[in-house]
Amino acid sequence: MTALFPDAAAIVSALGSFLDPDNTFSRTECARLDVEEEFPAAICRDLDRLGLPAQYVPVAQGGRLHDHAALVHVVRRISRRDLTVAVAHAKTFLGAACVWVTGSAGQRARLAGDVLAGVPVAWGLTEPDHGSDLVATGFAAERAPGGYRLTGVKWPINNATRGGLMCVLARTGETAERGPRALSLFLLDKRTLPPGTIECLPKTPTHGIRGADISGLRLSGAPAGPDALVGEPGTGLDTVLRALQLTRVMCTGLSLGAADQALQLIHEYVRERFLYQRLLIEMPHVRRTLGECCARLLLAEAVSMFASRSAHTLTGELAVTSALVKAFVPAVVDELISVGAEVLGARAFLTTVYADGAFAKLERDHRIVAIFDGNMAVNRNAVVNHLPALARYGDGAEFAAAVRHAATLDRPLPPIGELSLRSRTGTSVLRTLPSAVAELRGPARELGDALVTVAERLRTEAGRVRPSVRDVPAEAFELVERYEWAFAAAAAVHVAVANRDRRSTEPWWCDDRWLRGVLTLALDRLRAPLPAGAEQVFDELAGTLTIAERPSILPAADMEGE
Amino acid sequence: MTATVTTRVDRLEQLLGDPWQPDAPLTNDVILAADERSEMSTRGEELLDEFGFGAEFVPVAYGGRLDRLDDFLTLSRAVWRRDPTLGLGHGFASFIAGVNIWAAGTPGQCRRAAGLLLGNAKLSSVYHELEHGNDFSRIEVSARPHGPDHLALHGRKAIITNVGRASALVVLARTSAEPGSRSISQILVDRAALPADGITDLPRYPTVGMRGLMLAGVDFDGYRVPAGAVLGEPGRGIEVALRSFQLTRTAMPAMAAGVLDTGLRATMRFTGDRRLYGRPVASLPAVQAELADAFTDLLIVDALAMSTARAIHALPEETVVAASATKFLGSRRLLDAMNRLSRVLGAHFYVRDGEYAIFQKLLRDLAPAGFGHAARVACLVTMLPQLPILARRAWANPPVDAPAAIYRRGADLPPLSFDALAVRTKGGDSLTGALHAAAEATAVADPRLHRLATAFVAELAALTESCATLEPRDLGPAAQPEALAVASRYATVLAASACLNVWRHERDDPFLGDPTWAVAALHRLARAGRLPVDPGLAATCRPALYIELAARFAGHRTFDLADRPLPV
Amino acid sequence: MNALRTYVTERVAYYLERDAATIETDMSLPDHGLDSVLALALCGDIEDHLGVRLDPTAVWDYPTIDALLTYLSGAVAEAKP
Ligand SMILES: Cc1cc2nc3c(=O)[nH]c(=O)nc-3n(C[C@H](O)[C@H](O)[C@H](O)COP(=O)(O)OP(=O)(O)OC[C@H]3O[C@@H](n4cnc5c(N)ncnc54)[C@H](O)[C@@H]3O)c2cc1C
Ligand SMILES: Cc1cc2nc3c(=O)[nH]c(=O)nc-3n(C[C@H](O)[C@H](O)[C@H](O)COP(=O)(O)OP(=O)(O)OC[C@H]3O[C@@H](n4cnc5c(N)ncnc54)[C@H](O)[C@@H]3O)c2cc1C
Repeated sequence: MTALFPDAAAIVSALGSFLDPDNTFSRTECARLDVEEEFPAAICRDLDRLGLPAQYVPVAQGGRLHDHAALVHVVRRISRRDLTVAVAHAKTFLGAACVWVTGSAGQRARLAGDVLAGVPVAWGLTEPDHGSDLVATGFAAERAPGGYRLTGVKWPINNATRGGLMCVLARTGETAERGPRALSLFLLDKRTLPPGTIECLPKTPTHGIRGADISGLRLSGAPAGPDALVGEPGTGLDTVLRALQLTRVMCTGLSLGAADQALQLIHEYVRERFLYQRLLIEMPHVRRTLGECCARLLLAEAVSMFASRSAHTLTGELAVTSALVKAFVPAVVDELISVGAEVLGARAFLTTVYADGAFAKLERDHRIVAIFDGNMAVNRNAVVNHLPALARYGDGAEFAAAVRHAATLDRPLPPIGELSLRSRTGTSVLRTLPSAVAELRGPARELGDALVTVAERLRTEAGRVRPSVRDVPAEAFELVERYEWAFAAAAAVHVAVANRDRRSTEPWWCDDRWLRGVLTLALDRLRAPLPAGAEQVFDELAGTLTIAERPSILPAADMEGE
Repeated sequence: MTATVTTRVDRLEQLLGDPWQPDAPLTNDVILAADERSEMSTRGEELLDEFGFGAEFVPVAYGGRLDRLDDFLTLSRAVWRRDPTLGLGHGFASFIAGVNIWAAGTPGQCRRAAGLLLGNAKLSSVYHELEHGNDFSRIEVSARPHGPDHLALHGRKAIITNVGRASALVVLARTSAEPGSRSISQILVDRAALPADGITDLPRYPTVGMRGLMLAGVDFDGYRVPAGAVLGEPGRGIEVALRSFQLTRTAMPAMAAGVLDTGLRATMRFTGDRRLYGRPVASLPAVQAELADAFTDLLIVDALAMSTARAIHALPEETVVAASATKFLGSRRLLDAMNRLSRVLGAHFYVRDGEYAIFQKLLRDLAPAGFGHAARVACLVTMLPQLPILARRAWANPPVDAPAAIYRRGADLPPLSFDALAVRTKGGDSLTGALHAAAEATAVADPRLHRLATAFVAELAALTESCATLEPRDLGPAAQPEALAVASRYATVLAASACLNVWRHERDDPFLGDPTWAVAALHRLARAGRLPVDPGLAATCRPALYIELAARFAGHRTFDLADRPLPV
Repeated sequence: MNALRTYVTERVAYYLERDAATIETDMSLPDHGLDSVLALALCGDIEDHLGVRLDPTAVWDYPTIDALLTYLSGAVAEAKP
C-alpha cells in the first residue's frame, strides 16, 4: 500500500540517516546535546527548512494541516529519532492551537505567517503555584487605555525564551472571582513588548528533554492591544479546553515515536546479545517480553490513530476521547520502556556502551509526556466526570458510520467541526463494539466476545460513580484506567474490521495477528479469563518482528525512510 | 533493631543530619551538586569515614562491627535514604567483596581485608565482563600458574565499582581451561601491596543514575599475584558466590528501601505544600491512595528483606531460594512505587532544581537495584530448579513453623555462619511453613486477613502442583515464561508469609500488631499475583495507612518497619 | 417551572454534596465549589432531563440557579417550534 502520510515520509527521508554521525540530526549529536543541555537549534532549523511548520498550520491558512492523524504521525516520526527535538519543535502547534480554534481571521493569518516562517510559538498556561487547576490562574490582565496590561509569571513553559509568540491564559475578571468566565486568552508577540515589561526566566534544568528550552516568562504591565485577545473576553478557559482536545491527541504521537525507538533498541539488543550459549531472542521469556512490547505499541498506535481520525468524524466526543488517550498512551508506553530497560540491563543505564545511551535518554525524555498538557490525574478526572454519560446510552447505531469512517485508515476525512466541552454521547467506540465484534471470526472473535463482556461490566460500574472534582475516590480513577484499556481495545477492533480485507496479506495483519495480540494484552490487563494458550500470540508477534521489522498497523511505506 | 545498633544508627543519623535542613552536615543540595558534577560526594565520604563505616563490613571476629545482617542493613539504609551513590560507592561494593572473603578466605586473608576496611580503604568486587553479563560461568579473565608461586591474570573486567581506587580486589577468574563451574575461582588481589606491572585502569563509564559512582574497568595483562591469593579451594569460586550472594541479594532491596522512604518523604512534603482547587494536594483521595500504597509497598519489601536477612542467621540452610526471591520481588516493587510517586510530583519531579529535586536523583539511582547484581529473571532462574524440591519435601508435607525471631525486630538471633549457608536447597522451607501457622492465627483476629491468608495457603498448594509439571528444560535460562511465573508466584507467597508473620509476632506493637497494614499488604500482593480476592478491600485500609504515614511524616520517623526517629 | 427548579437544585446539591435544603437559588455556584468541570456535567444532566441541547458552558454564563432557570426557560421555548 502507498503511504497514508506522504509529507511525513518526505520530511524524514530528507533528514538523512539518523545513525550517520555526520548528519545534523544524528543519534550521536542528540546524545551530545543532551549531555551538554544544549538546545537542538541546528536540527530545528533543518526541520523548518524541510517544511515541518506547515504541518502545524491548517490548509485554510496556507499550511498543510488537514488531517489530525497526519499531525500525530509526523510528530511520531520525529519523536522516533529524538523526543527532545519533537517536544521542542512541535510545541508550536500547542501554542497555536487556541488561535486555530477561535482566533479571528486576522489573527489566524498573522500567526500562520509567523509559524510558516519558523517562529516558535509557546503556550503559557502553567504558573509556579498553579498547574492542573487552571481556574486558579493568577496571571493578571488589567484593562488599560487601548487594551490590557499584563502582569504575572508563567513557569515552567516550553520555549518561553526562544518563542517569538506566546499564547497565555490570564485573569481578566476581578481577582476574587473564581468562576471560569474570569479568564481570557492573549496571543502575545514577545518581540514587540517594550523593554522593562518582559523578562525571560532562566532555563530550568530538567530530568529529561535536557536540551529543551524549559523556562518562564515574567511580565510587568506589558501592554496588549485588543487584537491580542483571542476570542471574546471571558472565554479563555473554554478555548483552552477545546484546544487541549487536539493537543492531547497530538501528544500521543510523542509516545508512539518513543515506543518505536525503544522497541527497535530492544530488538537489536536481543538479537545480538549472546548469553548462556544462545542469543537472548532465543530465550522463551525474552521472546514473550518482546512480543508483549509489540502488542503494547500496536495497541497504543491503534487507539491513537483512531482517536486522531475520530476528531474529524466524532468531534463531539473528543472531550472524552482525548482524555482517554492522553491518559492511556503515555502510560502504556512508559510501561513498554520500563520492561525494555529491564531486558537491556546495564545498557539502559550506561550512556556510552550501547547506542549512544539512547535508551536511557528516551526513558528520561518520555516521562514528561504523562505530565504536561494535562497530567494523567487530570485526564482521568475528566473521564470520571463523563462516567454517567458513558454509562447511560444505548447501542449507538446512529454513530456506527462515523466510527467506521474514523476506523478506515485510508478514507479521506471531513474538516474538524465544532469542538464540544463535553461529550453528550459518551464514547460510540464502546457502544458500537458488539456489532464490530460480530464481524470477527475464529480466535479473534473469541477474544472480541470476551471484550464485549468486560465492556458491559465496566458500563454497569460506571453508572455507580458519582462525578466530583474534589473527592473523587481512588477507585473511580482505577475504574477509568480499566475503561482506558477497554476503549483502546475496542478502537483496535474497529480499526481491524474496517481495514483487514485490504491488508490481510501483510505480516502484522494476516490471521488477525496484531488484533489478537492487542486484545490478549488488554483482556489480561482487565483480568478477563483468556482462552488457553492465548499468550502464545506474543511469541507469534515476536516472530513477526524478525520478518517484518517495525510493528505497525500502518502501511510499511509510512514507517520507512530512516 | 537491636539495642547496640540503635545507638550506632542514631549516631550515624546525627552525624549526617537532616538533609532537608540547609545547615545539616550533608544536605540534599550538596548531594545533588556532587551528582551534577558526576562526583562522589566528598562531604558524604568524609562523614562516613568519620563514622568508621568500613568497620560495619567487618565481622566482629576480625575487629569490626558486623554482627547481624539486619542491623547492617538498617545502618546502610540510613545512607541509601540520603544518597544511593554513597551507599554503593562508599559501601556496598566493599561489602560484596568482603562477604566472599569472610566466606572462603583464610584467617590471614580475612585479617588483611579487615585491616583495610577498618582503615577506611575500599574493596572492589570484580566479577563482571561486558561480553558475558549475568552469565558468570563463561567469564574469560584467566588466572594461570606463573612459576611455582604465582598466578598471572589476563583479560578485561568492565563496569566495576571502585576498581580504580580500591586497595584490594576480589576477582572472579578462570583457573582452568575446562568448561564448567569447577574452573572458576575468586582471587583476592591485594592491589595496594603488589607491583603495578600488568594492570591498567580503564576509563570511567558515564551513567544516567549514580552519576558520581567510580565505575570503570581494568585490564590484566600478565598481572602477577601470589598463588595463595585464591579464596578457598581453587575451582570453588561459583560455590562461594552462591553462598555469599545470599547476603548480598537480600541486602540490595533492603538498603534500596531507603530510597522509597525518602521518595515518600519528598512526595509528602510536596502534597502538603502544594495547593490545588483551593486546598492542599494531600487532601485529594486519589493522592492519599497513591501515598498509602507506596507506604504499603515499603512495608512489604522491608518485611520480606528483613525476615530473609534474619533467616540467614536462624535458618542458613533455607535461604538460598528466599534471597533470590527477595531481590526479584523487592527491587521491582521499589521501582514501581517510585514511578507512581513521580506522577504525583508531576512537574516538580521533572525539574532538577528546587525543593524536591532529590526525587529525580533517587529515581535515577534506584535503577541498578533492579538489574544490578543479578538480573531479576536470573534470580528466578536460580530459584526454579530448587522449587520442585521444596514442593516435594516441604510444601506437600505438614508445615514447619519458623522461629519468631525472624519476624520480630530486635529479637536474639544465632550468629552469622557462612559455613552453614547452603549452595542449594536441602528441601526445608519454614519461611512458607510459617504461613500456615500465621493463617491460623488470623482466624480469630480479622476476617479480612483470614480470607487473604487462606488465599495464599491455597496458592502455595497450587504451586505445589505446578512444580510437579515443570519440565527439565524449564529449569534453566531457556525456561518457558509459564515456568518462570511459578517462581515469581512463589516470591509473592513468601512476601505474604513475611508480612503476615511480622503481624503475628509483633502483636504488641500498636501499628504492626493491628491487622490493617497486613490486610493492605496481603491485598496488594494478592492482586499482583492474580489471586481471587475482593478488589474493594484496598479502600478499607488506605485511610488508616495514610493516617499512620502522615503521623510518621509529621513526627520525623522512618516509614519502614523500624519506625525510627530521624534527626530534626 | 417549579419542577425544573427543584430538579436543578437537587442536581446542584448532588454535585456540591450538600443537602438540597441548604442551596439558595441566588448563590454563586462557582463560589460555592461548583467547579467548572462539574458545571459541564450538570449541564449534561439538564440536557437529558429536558431533552434539549444547551450550550455546554451555560452554567458558566449563568452562575446562579435563578439565572440558569431564566436561561433555560428561553432555551426550552426556542426548542419548541
Ligand atoms: C518540561 C516541562 C514542560 C512544560 N511545558 C509547559 C508549557 O509549555 N506550557 C504550560 O502551560 N505548562 C507547561 N508545563 C507544565 C505542565 O503542563 C504542568 O506541570 C501540568 O499541567 C501539571 O501540573 P503540575 O505538575 O504542576 O501538577 P499539579 O497541578 O500541581 O498537581 C500535582 C499533583 O496532584 C494530582 N492531581 C492534580 N489534579 C488532580 C485531580 N483532579 N485528581 C486527582 N489528583 C490530581 C496529580 O497527581 C498531580 O501530579 C511544563 C512542565 C514541564 C515539567
Ligand atoms: C552502577 C553499576 C555498578 C556495578 N558494579 C559492579 C561491580 O562492582 N562489580 C561487578 O562485577 N559488576 C558490577 N556491575 C555490573 C553488573 O553486575 C551487571 O551490569 C549486571 O550483572 C547485569 O549484566 P548486564 O546488564 O550485562 O545484563 P545481561 O547479562 O546482558 O542480561 C540481559 C538480559 O538477559 C536475560 N538474562 C540474564 N540472565 C539470565 C538468566 N540467568 N536466565 C534467563 N535470562 C537471563 C535477562 O532478560 C536480562 O535482562 C555494575 C553495574 C552497574 C550499572
